[in-house]
Amino acid sequence: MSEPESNNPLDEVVVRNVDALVHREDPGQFTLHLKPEWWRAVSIIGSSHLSDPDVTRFTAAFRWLGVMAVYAVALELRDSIETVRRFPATEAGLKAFNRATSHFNYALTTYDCTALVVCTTDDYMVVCGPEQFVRLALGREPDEAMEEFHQWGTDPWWPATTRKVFESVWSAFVNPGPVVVFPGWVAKPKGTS
Amino acid sequence: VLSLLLISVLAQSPDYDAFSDRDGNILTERHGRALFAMLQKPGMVERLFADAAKGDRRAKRIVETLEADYFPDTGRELAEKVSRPPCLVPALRELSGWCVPEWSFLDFLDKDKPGGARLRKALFDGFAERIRVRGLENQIVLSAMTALLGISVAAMAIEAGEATASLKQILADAKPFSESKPGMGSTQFKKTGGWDAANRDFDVLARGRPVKSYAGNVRSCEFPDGTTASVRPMSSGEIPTVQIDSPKRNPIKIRYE
Repeated sequence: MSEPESNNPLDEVVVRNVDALVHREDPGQFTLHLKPEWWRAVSIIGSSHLSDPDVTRFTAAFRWLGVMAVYAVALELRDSIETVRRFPATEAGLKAFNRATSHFNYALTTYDCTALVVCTTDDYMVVCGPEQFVRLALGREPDEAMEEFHQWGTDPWWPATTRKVFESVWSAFVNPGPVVVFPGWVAKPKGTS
Repeated sequence: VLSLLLISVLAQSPDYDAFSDRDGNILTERHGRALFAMLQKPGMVERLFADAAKGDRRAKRIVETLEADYFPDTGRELAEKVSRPPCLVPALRELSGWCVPEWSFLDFLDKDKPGGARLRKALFDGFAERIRVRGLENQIVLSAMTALLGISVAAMAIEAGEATASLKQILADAKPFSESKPGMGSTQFKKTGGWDAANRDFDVLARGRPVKSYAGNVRSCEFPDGTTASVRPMSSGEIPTVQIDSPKRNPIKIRYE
């Protein structure tokens, strides 16, 4: 698991860019700014974080963006886990991302935040970016992926409170505005209530 | 000097014609005898594995045969020998002279070099498989593992076994409610007892391992086989959750309501 570090100026820029796009308003809520406005955003099932098929598809999607590396930016606990880490934009790189971050809330993105994936510890992810990136990452039509997420998240075997969470996430991304607020539980930083 | 060096290098190459056909198949008794004579010469095992790693077709085939057949079969044979009825009687076992495996015949396989370690592992896997099929005690397997693979590998296996045992213990009274296909999503369990029970179970899981504590009451630990575990007070609807990620299976999440 991750250790705190990073003095690279580019890393700091990536963190600032991510912070401008997604942040925690309170421990049970994320706010996501969909910029530019032509970004597509889709909520999907998470597997702490990426399943093997996700790894293959996400690699193809990042390859389509033409990047050599992806960045993991912590969305919580920045005083005690590594705030930013770089991984090669390859299947091995994404598997390494998974191993390093699977117990924490992280954003997976590129150096210029052309696309961004919110990887939560709450069994779901949000894939945002240009339409083609999102299609490649999902491996199907975004509407189909949303429908699958909805069916999975409202399955009666989930505890009622969890079903409510998934329902809220789904609703937030069915017709998202420029700013999307959706549930997500990140650990509180030290010294806050 | 150059030709002497060349002769010396050539002399260290395995004579593949002596123990295989042109495709690397070991077909005759003569091949078999020559192969085992070659393996016992210093440095030859590693040279064979190095040739295979470089893509030599014959070497690859031979390594494949040794790892998949010869050494596991030898391990199985040994397991048969030490699990015959007299060997299951404690006093007779020690007095027999043949019930306790003697591993020194493998001294030519260096456990600290890649080729030697892989062949030892192949032999051990065959041995352990047969011993377990016969339902015999883990102690036999563990002492073989220590002798064959070294103390550090054996210790890792024991610790990994302990992690699995702890996981079984905490899942004993858990209710599974969602099993995902391999590589797809998490396998979910429900338990009662809330945050206190989640913490207690995490402590059982992490027993004896270093635990990292973070703000917000999040804790995590790692196991030698790459498994990681964490406990969180809030996840997916403010439900305390223990999460176990293993390189070998889907993530497991236990929800404490």
